[in-house]
Amino acid sequence: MIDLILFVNKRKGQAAMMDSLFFLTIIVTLCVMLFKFSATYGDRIDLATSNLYFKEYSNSVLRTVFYSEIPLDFSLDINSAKEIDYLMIAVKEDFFSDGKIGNSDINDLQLIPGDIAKFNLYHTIKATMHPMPNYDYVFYLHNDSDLKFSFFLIKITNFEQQGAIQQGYRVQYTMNSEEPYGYYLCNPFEYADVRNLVSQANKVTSSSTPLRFYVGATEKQLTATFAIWPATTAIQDANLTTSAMSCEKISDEVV
Amino acid sequence: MKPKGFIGAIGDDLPSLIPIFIGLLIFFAVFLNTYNTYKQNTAVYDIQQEAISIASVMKEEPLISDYSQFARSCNMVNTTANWNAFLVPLDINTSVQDDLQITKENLSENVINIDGNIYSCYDLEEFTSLSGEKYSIVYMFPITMQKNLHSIPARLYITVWS
Repeated sequence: MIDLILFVNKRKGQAAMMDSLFFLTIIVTLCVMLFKFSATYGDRIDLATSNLYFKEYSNSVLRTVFYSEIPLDFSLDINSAKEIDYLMIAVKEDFFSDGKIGNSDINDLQLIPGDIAKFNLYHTIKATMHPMPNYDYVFYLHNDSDLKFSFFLIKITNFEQQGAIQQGYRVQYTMNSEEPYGYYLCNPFEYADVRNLVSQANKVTSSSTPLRFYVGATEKQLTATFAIWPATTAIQDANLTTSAMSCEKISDEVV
Repeated sequence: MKPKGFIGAIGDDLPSLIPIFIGLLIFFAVFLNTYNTYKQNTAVYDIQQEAISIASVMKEEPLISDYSQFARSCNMVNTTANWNAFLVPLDINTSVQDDLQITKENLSENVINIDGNIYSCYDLEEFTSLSGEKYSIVYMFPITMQKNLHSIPARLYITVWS
């Protein structure tokens, strides 16, 4: 018994050293957990708040489009216009006669009297999004009755690749300084093509609202959709000029 | 008689105290850092959420028909945060927008003023003279307002700071 006490007494320091090392291990584990918490704290709140803001923004864009008045000419100046009307009324009137918006093709816009509503719709959407140049967007009117698009506008930010692709190096992109943005009118073949295109962007926020249009006495159900996403290299000119999307760049004279 | 090598109750455990002190030091440093991060982020998120809720009140009506309606919306905002909301023109001609760069210095001139009614919830002079606030956020939304009997787009700015 006495031998045992002497043995323990002799190794007292080693036991205390071992205990403190265990203590240090526990503390380090706790610190790693705390670090992890502080590094990720609020990421979900931040994401939720950001999503909420863009959701509110896209709702506001749709409401602005529906409640704004436009000059019934190509002046873009409501104060000097001889005639004005609500934008959506003008679009519905245009649709009433032949079931399409504008006299030109769906993916074309010309400075002709038949395209006044289309011209002002394009410029109103462009103006509401102008304060957010780093975001790309799409606005379309989808005819739910015959599953065709009546209007389709997409804005993209043009990026160009810097240097050649080298193995092991990330490809660098910069914004095209000569033509930073591109505005396109499209004639997508079907809704799935649009979904495939937009799904290439991340953090897409969208808002939709059903609308009632008439072609003569026939009622048509259309859905107005506005979607917004941070500018991306994944959606570029090459993705739009495909046969599925049939996009045409809006000419400089109406941009 | 003292056993050989014995240097006292604490002295005997002296080497083991070093890792304990290092451990405590690391723990409190990390804890303090985490606490500060938590406090700072919470303040920012609170401000962001306040800004969103203020915006929902201000945008409740899709069309601001006149100044009294705008003032009514301002009065309906119920918050303890420091905030302001004001309207700035949004021309559908984007080249006009490009020419109009709104800064703190020219803000007073650009806020919509109809017949002497400045579309700002609070005094702009006070707002533009603010400096050195810890956290602030500015949200912008398009909105429609009536001016000279026309419904035109405008930009609604919501600013919250602490």
